[in-house]
Amino acid sequence: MFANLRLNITQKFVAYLMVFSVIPLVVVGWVSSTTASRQLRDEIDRNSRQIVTDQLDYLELQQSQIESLLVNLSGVESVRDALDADNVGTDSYTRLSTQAQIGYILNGYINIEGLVSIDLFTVGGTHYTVGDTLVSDVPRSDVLDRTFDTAITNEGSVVWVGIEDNVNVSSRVPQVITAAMALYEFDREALQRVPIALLMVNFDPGELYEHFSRVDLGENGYLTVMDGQGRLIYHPDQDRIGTPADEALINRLAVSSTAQTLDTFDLDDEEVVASYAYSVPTGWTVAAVVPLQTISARISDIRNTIFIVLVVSFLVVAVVGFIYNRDVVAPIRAMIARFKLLQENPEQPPERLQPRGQDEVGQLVQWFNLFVDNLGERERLITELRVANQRAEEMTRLKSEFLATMSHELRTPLNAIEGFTSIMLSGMGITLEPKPRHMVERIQVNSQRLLTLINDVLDLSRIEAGRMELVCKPVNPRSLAAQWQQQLGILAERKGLRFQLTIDPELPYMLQLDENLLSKIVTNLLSNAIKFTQEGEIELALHSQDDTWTIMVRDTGIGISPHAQEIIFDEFRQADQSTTRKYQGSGLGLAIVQRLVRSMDGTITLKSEVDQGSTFTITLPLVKEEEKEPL
Amino acid sequence: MSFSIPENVFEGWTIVLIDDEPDSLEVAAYVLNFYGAEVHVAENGAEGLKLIREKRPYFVISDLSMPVMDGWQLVRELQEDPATRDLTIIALTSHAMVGDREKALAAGFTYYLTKPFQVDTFITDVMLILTDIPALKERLHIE
Repeated sequence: MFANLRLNITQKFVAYLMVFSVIPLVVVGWVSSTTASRQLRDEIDRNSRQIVTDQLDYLELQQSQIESLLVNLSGVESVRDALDADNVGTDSYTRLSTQAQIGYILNGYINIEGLVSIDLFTVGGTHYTVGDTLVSDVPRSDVLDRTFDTAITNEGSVVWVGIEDNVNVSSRVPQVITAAMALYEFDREALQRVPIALLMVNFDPGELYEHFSRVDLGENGYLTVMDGQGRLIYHPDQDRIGTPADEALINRLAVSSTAQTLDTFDLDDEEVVASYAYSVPTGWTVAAVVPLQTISARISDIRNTIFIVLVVSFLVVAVVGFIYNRDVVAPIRAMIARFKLLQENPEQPPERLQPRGQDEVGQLVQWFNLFVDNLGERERLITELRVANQRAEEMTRLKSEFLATMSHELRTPLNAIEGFTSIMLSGMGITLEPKPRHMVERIQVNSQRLLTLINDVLDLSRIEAGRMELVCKPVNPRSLAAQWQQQLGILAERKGLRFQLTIDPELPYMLQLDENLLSKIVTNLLSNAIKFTQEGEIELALHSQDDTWTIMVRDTGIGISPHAQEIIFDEFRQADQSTTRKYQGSGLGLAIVQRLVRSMDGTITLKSEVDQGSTFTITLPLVKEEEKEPL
Repeated sequence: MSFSIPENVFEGWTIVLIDDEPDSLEVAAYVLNFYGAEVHVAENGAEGLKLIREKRPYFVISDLSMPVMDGWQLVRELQEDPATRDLTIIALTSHAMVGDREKALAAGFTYYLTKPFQVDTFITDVMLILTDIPALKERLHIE
């Protein structure tokens, strides 16, 4: 999969940055946010538990104060006496006096803050009260009965009724927190304890509200207190005090002496976490409710910070990628583009690159520029060489032209000399005395030598200038050999030499070759052979091999010394300088022959022994007529 | 040479000889004249053309490269004139290049001889051309 992924350097670099920095950052961010979230949650739970424990302690402190109050009151003798009297049924004076006495006593206890009223209800129906109202109305009998029943059930110990409607209708506090206690007397006749009165203390929930509302549970967190019946004693929403608490919360509570934390649950359409402490003696519960949103808000702060860091990281990666692209990749791309151009158009050196920096890329750019400069220099040298070469070719052409013109100019007067001397010697109406005749003959011989020399020089210069072009066409080598025999056999016969022609039967009947050139070569060799042979024979032999064929010219003449064999093909050399004089010729013959043979892709070899004769063998590539390539 | 040529071989023939080299002209004219021909010489094609129209020669021998009017131009002029269209014209040139012979024959020359001509073979060559011996024609352009 990745093998097919073709990324350029920038993409790779950015990918590396992503893999080695951004992705770890994301992981670290996620882990830290999760950890922070958990720790935060733990912290909040712990804090909540601490708060509910503390507040429960506070509540129990308050309760114990009130319980003490109740216990104390129940033990006061005068209260007992008053009650006894009431039960017995006394006169109105005594009752009034008792009432005043009890009122006085109760009044001594009402100094506890938040206390709304202390009430004493006798079985006989007398109601003693001290509190925020002195109006002794008819009390709420339903509340009274309920409370009395609860108190009797607890047989003389303090009972916390919880939040309850105020028994005193005219009180300014409609709902109060009520603690009650039944008072008993031992009935001597029935021999058992019988309830004689109900002592009741009413406490103002507003007092608790004052206190609990100061407890800090964060922005949206709040404290709530419930009595044993699940009624709200405290709630930040004052209107809800006295009403049943949310079932969602109540159902989750358990009887536990230590503070607990509940799992997340929905409360009033809001996800919350709650911790609570349960008071065993009263059955009351203090709960701290913290909406999850509060935690999430703080966690999302962390997440936002991480996100911002991430965005910044991406921006940094982008900027670094951009800079990297500009500083590293762009020059390399530019070089690649220039190399491509150079490949397409090798003669046009590419443009230099803007040098930048001293780092590796900068150095690469510098080397590239140096390369371009060298290329330009090389191109310039090539151009110079080309110009020089053109000039040289032009010079060669001019030289050849000059030679051609010169040879023509030189030959013209020689032709005239030749023509006139020939007429004088041919007997066409002119008769010469022996002496002048001899002189005219010498003129003719020397002019012919001069002519041969000029022709040889011209041939050589033509070959050197590469102007000897092959004109190949199908030729029958047998008839060509016959032609040579016919031409030169006469000369051999004149010297009394035998001329022998041998032709290999295997030799093809048609060959591709330059007839004129080959004739020039072979007639040159044959005339040399005849020239340097005084007696014996001249042999011309044609042989055929696999892909070559040979022309052998053998004589039985004076031969060539080993030393001379080494230089015989050099220009202007004959075996011996003296031979030039004796046998005539420019000494160019064999040099020309060798060059002509080479121009036909052939070779020429020499075997010779002094006084035994010489054998020249020309080996040529065998190109059959049918192999000729279409022109 | 083994040939024995009668001295009156060109007796009664008028020949026009055109060459810008006077010596060459003189040698050729001497030889042709020796064998009985009535030779008229000209130094360029224009003069030659005038002579040809005037003298009505039996045949013409002309150099190729000449001032005023060269051999190529001359042969074109003669070709265009019905009176001279069938005239035998032998080209004579010192610049023997590959393909020159074919070019000369295509241009309208009857035959083609290379300079320098040998005095002893010149007459036989001309005779062979005139007698049109096919078997020997090949030899004429081989030096």
